[in-house]
Amino acid sequence: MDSVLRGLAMYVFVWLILRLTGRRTFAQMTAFDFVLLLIVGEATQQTLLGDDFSVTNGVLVVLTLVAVDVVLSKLSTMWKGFDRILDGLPILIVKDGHILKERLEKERVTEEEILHAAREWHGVENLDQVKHAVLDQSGGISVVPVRRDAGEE
Amino acid sequence: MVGYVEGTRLQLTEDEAFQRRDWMAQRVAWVVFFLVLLAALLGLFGSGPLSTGSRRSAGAQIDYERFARNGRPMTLTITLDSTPGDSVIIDMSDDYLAAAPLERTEPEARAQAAGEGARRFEFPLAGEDGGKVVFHFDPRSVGLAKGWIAVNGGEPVSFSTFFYP
Repeated sequence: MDSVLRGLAMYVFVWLILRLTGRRTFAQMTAFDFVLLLIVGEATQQTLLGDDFSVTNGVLVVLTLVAVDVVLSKLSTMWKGFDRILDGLPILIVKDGHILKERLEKERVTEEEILHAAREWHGVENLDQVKHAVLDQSGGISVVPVRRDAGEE
Repeated sequence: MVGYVEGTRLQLTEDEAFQRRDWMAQRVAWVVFFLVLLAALLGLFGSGPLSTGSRRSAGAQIDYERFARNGRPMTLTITLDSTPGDSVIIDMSDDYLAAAPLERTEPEARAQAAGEGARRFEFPLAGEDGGKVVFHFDPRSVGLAKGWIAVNGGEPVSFSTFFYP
């Protein structure tokens, strides 16, 4: 019983903390983000197993975590409201070439990060070539570039 | 059906009301997180200035933990004002020992016996001015645990520890 409770408790708490600290926490793998991911993993590991290193405990904990994941994803397909609570909604951060500054601040996104996404996926040189940009639920940024053939909107 | 962003051809699920609530929830969460961290620094989750408590009984001071954590070693220290003899008798309640099993004591007990609802320990004393006995526990419970201690058959002093999971 202990194994299942520990797995459940850690899943809920870690999810809660990450969900409420904003999605940029783990999205881009800078050295800073990488260190954080590593350390959070290490911090939860000992708690999940306690001082029980049996195969039984290990299997039960993994089973608990996967089961919670399956239940949550099933619930989020069945109920739209639940999916929003779980993962949030995508947020438009550049609309028709205009940067929505207030939203950038709220989500702690910098212009440089938008430029990075634009360069990476579309070979875009500057912000004038960015039509729309969305901060996705995953924490990544997706960019719609201005069409190269002129006369488009 | 995913709607369109006003004035564009971009299809995106948007919900202003939801987003505003979400951002508010994040702000509230941040306040709570910092309060939790502050409480932790002060020792409200164990190991800090506010977590150690003191009681006095029959010429001895008992320093115990008000807040502790399941699975984390914990100590209780009895400091005698003076050492009239070469040994001291300490009674510790069984309930408390059940919640926080004893791992070892400093010094080792010369003798142990079961009493009424308590365990009686006899410790040898070094013989200088005032002696010290330290109980090292390995807590195995969650929630509030009440206990009492009597030194040299004196008035039992009660105390309690809250064990976090």
